[in-house]
Amino acid sequence: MCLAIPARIVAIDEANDMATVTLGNVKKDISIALIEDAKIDEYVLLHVGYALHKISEEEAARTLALFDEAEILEEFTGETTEVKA
Amino acid sequence: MGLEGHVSISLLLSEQGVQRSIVKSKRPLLAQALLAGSHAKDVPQKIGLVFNLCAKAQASASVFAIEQACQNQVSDDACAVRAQLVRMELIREHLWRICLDWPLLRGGVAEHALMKQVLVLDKEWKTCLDADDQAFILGGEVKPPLKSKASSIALKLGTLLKEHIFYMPPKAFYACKGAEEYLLWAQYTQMNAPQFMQRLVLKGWQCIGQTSTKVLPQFELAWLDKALSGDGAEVFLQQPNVDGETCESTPYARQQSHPLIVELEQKYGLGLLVRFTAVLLELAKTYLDLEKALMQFESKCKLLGKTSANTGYGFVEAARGRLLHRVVLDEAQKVKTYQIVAPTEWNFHPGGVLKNALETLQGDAEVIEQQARLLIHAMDPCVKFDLEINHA
Repeated sequence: MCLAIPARIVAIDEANDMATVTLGNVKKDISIALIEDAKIDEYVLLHVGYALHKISEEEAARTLALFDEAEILEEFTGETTEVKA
Repeated sequence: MGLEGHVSISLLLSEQGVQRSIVKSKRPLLAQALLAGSHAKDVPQKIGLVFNLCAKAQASASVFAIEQACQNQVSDDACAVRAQLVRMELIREHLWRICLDWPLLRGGVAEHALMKQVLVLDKEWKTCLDADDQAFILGGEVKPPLKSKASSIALKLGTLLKEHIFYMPPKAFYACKGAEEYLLWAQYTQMNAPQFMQRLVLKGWQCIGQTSTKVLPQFELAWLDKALSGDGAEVFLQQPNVDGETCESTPYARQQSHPLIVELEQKYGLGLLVRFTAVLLELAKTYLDLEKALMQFESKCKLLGKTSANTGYGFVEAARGRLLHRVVLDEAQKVKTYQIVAPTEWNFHPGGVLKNALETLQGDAEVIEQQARLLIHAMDPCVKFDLEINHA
């Protein structure tokens, strides 16, 4: 329902404006064509194959904590998720 | 099932065309799991964080519902700022489809640079109108925005729409009343949106997916109470209907009385051309509303009548259709029940408008697949979808 999921960038392919992101143990390749100056370890909101915009580590942590609280993230990723310190 | 949700669509083809279509929306009912037990004052922010794609529409529906349940008065400034934030979000979402999806659907390349500009304006707008994040806080101190700054952002947006989407000011586009004039625009304007329409014309696909459909009527409180508080509430949340009939809540549903839509519908029926044209008209109309609201103060918030104690409703016309939130609080003002009925549930109902439109498709499998994708995009599921084609 109109969800965009926070995920951490773990690799960047600058030539193709693509990045690999991770959420728990799930990895995805996404387009970073809509955001400026993406860096490894930054958090982005994912939506249908695109990084929608960058978010702070704090916001990512708050959002993921809400999912964890409702015990629904586990269903998605197979594990609870912590924002990397 | 992923958190983001997913729509799966399968078509069973016979020699003549689509024999049967199956539309399944697999989206988790997150609201109750996330919000049960939360204090009322925390709910709109939680909603904005989690349902962050249309965060303004979601937070707006949420805060209106909570305010009604708590019997809080809403300030006119808060209403006005919320409405302006939701308008910009609707514009952004329509432009997302036009810049990123439409070019691919006609075999072109997504307009990433243009969409980047839109996202920058969206961010500037939010900062200008709600720098202190007060608009969706219960009892938040919302101040009217600085008019000159807001007008300058609106002007930049108007210029972007003129130069990259309509090739004329949004007001002139919205004033287009004749199908002939519109189709000439599509034929001769070398921009993505008109060329997308022209491709439908060249393919002869204007009428594809014609359906007769019931448009979602205005909500009535007594009816909503019955649908959302009875035994069938959980089924209603996933497969809503009005007195057993499925309805659509789409840009077409909101633009159906525009003279251009009326004429195109008479000529081509409620098919692809009408549906995509409604998106463009709604984009222009929303920009005009945003501009108008800068000039004159808005009227009061749209609320749904008087509810029973501790119960509140909030609804917003979001990009994909009408979004409804309902909350029931306990005596400590904590959430007992939280329900959301999103437009995707109306438009991607297993017996709804998309299914009916898909079942009109005829021809060979390759053409049917292209047309089916266009129909799905015209109704915009907001989540990922899979299209599977099988032969009988």
